[in-house]
Amino acid sequence: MVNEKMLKKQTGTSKKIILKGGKVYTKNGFLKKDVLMDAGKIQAVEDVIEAPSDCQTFDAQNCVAVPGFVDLHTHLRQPGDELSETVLTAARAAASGGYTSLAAMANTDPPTDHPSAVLYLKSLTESVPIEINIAGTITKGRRGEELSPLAELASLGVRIFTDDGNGVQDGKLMRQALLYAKNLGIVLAQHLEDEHYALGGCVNEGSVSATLGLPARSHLAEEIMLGRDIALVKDTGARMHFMHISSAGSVPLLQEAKAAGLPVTAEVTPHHLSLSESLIYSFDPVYKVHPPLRTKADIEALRNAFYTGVLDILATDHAPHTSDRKEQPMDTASPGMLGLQTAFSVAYAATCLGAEPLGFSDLGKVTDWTNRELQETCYDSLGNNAGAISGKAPSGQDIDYRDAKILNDCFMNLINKMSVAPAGILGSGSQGSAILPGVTANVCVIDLLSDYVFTKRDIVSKSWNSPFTNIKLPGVIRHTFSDGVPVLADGELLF
Amino acid sequence: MTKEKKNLLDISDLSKDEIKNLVKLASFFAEVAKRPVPKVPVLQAKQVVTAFFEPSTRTRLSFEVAAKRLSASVVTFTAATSSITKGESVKDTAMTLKNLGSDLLIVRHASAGVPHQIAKWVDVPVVNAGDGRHQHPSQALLDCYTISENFYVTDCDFSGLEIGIVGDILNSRVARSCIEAFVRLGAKVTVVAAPTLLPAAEFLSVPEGSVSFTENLDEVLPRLDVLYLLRVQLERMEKNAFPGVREYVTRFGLDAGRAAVMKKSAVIMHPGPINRGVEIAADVADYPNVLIGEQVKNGIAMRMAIIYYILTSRYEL
Repeated sequence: MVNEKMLKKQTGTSKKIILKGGKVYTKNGFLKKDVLMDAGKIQAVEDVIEAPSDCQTFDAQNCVAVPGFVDLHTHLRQPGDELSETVLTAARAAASGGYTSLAAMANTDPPTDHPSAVLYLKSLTESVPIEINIAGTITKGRRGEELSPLAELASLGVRIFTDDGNGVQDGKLMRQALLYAKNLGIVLAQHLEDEHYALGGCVNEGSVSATLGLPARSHLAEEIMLGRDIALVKDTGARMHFMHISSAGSVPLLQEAKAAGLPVTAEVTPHHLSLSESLIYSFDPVYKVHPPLRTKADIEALRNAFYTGVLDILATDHAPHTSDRKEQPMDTASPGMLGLQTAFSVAYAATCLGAEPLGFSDLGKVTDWTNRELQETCYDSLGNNAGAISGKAPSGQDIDYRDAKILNDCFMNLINKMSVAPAGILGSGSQGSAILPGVTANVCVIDLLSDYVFTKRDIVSKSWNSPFTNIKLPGVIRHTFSDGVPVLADGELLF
Repeated sequence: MTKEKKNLLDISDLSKDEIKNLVKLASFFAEVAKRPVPKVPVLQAKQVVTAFFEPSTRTRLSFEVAAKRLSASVVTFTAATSSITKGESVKDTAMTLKNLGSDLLIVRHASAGVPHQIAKWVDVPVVNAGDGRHQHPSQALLDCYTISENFYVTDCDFSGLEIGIVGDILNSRVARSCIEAFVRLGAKVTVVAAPTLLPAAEFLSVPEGSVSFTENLDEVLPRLDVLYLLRVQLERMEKNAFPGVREYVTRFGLDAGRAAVMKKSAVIMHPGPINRGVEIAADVADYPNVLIGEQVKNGIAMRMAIIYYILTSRYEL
C-alpha cells in the first residue's frame, strides 16, 4: 500500500495531473473542460489542455468532475472500536465514495471531549490522504451533564461539536452550550431524539411497530427536540446544525425557523431518503438505525425538502458495526449503517431519478434504482443551460424528474448539498469549491451513465452493515483527487 | 406440502385450511390423551428442543408434554441456567442447539423476531413459542381449537360468534395472534381497551372494519359469546399505561356483577397466568364457564398437532 500523501510530504513533489474530456463543475455551471492539477491546486481549466510530458492523464469522457464530497457525519470508530472501523478504512470507504473530507463523530472511546483525545485522533488522521475534521463533544463524556472545554478544543481546530449518538436531553444545559459557543466560531450539531419518546425503541412508531410489537421511537422524539432547539437558537442567536432529519413533521418546523432568519442548518441521510420502515418486517438489524427508518410519506416529504432547500446538506451517518453487534435480537442490536461508499449513488437515485424507496417486498432480489433515460437526460442537460440553475419546484408538489430543466436543478442541488454546502457549514476554505484555477484540488469524477450492483464483496469498510447491497445503483465514482493527489483512480483505491 | 423446511413463526404463516386441519389433527390427538397409555410412537427418532430465553410455565411444559406424547426425545434449554449468562449470543446458542442433533427448535424470547432470526441462522424448523410482544401462534391455535370444541363449530367457521378481547392489546403477543386468527375464521372481534393500551386502530394488521374498538366493556358484555381476558402486566403501570390496579378493575375487570349480564352460553378465556382480583375476580375465575383449564389441556393436543405437522411429511395439509 502506497501512501501518496506521505510520499508527497516526504518528497515535496506530486505529479501533474490532467483530467480530460469531462463536464466540469465551474462557477458557471457545468462546462466541458480539461483540468490541470499541480502542487495540490487546480492550475488551469481550459477547453483543451495539451498534456505536458511529466503528467498523468485521467480520462473523464462521459463523466462529470465535481468538488470532492464533504461528509459532516462519519463514525470512524477510532479510537476504541477498531474492530468495526479505523481512520484508514473509513478514509478508504470515503475515497471510494468520492469524499475528500469527513467529520469524525465524537462518540469514540474515549470521546473527543478533551484536548488529549483530540490531539491523539489528530495524530492518527495525519497518515490518511483525505481531510478529517474532528468533532468535539458538547458535554463531557457525552453524558449531557457538564460542558466540554469548547473554547480549548476550538483552539485546536475543532469546528463542529456534537454528542451524536444521543441528543443533549437537558434543555437548560443546551441553552448554556449555545450561549457559550456563540462567539467561538463553531457550530453545535444536535442528534435530535428526546429520549422520553425514543429510549429503548428500535423502530419507527406506526404500523410496523404495531404489527411486530417492537418497542418504538416516535417521530415526536425528533420534532419535540427540534422545536425546543429552534426556540433556543431564537433566544441565543447561536448557530446550530440539526443532524439526520427523518420525520415529515420536522420539515415545517425547519421551514419556519429559516423563514425567520435563524442561523440553523439541517442534514438528511441517504438512507432516510431511500429506505422505508417496512424493511423491519425482515427482522434484519442491518435496517436498525437511530433515528429509525420511517414511512414512504416521510421519505417523500424529505425528498421535497431536499429539493426546496429546507434541508441543507446530505450527510451519511456512516456507522460501522461488527457482525456480532448486528446479528442480535432487534432490541439489543447496535443501531447504524454504512453510508460513505454508496452515498452519491443512493442520493442520486433518490433525489434525481425518483427511485422508489426500498421496502420489505423488494428483498430477496436485485432491486434496480437505475433509470437509463433519466440518467442520459441528466448528463445531457448539464452544460446546456449553464448558469441557469436557480429554478425551484414549488414545495409540496411532486418533482417531475422527466423535465430536463428540473432534473438539471436536482443534480446541481445534489452536488451542492454533498460538497459546497457542508464545506460552508464547516467553514472549510479548501473544500467544496467550484473547480477553477487556484483552488485546492479536491475533485471527484463520476460516470453518471454507468451502473453497478453493490455487493458485500465491494464493501471497503471494515464492517459489512450496508443496507444497500443487492441494489443496482446508478453513477460510478471513477476518480477521486484529494489535495491534488489521486486517491481513487479508475475505481481502484491507491492507499 | 413442499419439501422446504416448515416453520411456524406467525399465525399468518398458516392458511385458513391449514388452521382447520391443525384443529382437526388436535382433536385426534386429544383422543390419544384419553387412552390408558397416552402416547403415539410416531416421532421416536426425533429430538425436539425447547429453547426458552424467557421464563414460562405452561407453554414450555405443554410443548414438552406434547413432544413426549409423540414419543420424541425432548431437550430443555433454559436461558437462566445456560451460557447466555456468560455472554453467549443468541445466534451461537441456536447453532449449538442445532448441532446437538435437534430436529426442531421451539423458541421463546423476550425480543420480537428472534425465532424468525434463528430460522434464518439454522437449517432446522423453528416454532415460535412467543416472541416479545409480537406473536404467539400456538396459543392462538389452541384457542381456536378450544372455541371450536366448546361451540361444536364445524370446519372452524366462526361466523356468528362475537369474541371480545379485553386488556393490554399494545403489549400482548397473544392478542396479535388471536385477533388475526379469529378474524381469519370469520368471527366478529371487538377489542376493549383504553387508548394507551392499544396500537392506533389503523396500525393493526387486519382487514379494515373486521375489528371494532371500544372502551366500554359493559356495553359489549351482553353480546359476547367469548370474553377473552388478557393478563394485565403490572409492570406496565410504571409507564402510566393506566393509572392503577383499582382503576383498571373498575373499568375492565370481570367481577360477578359483570359476569351475570353475559349470555348463558358465553364462555370466558384467558391465556394465563391470571392475576386473580385484577382482570378477573378471584371467585369468577373458578366459574364453570371459565375455560382456562380446557385451554391448558387443549394446548397439549394442539402442540402435538403442530410438532407432528412440522416434523412429518406423511400428513398432507
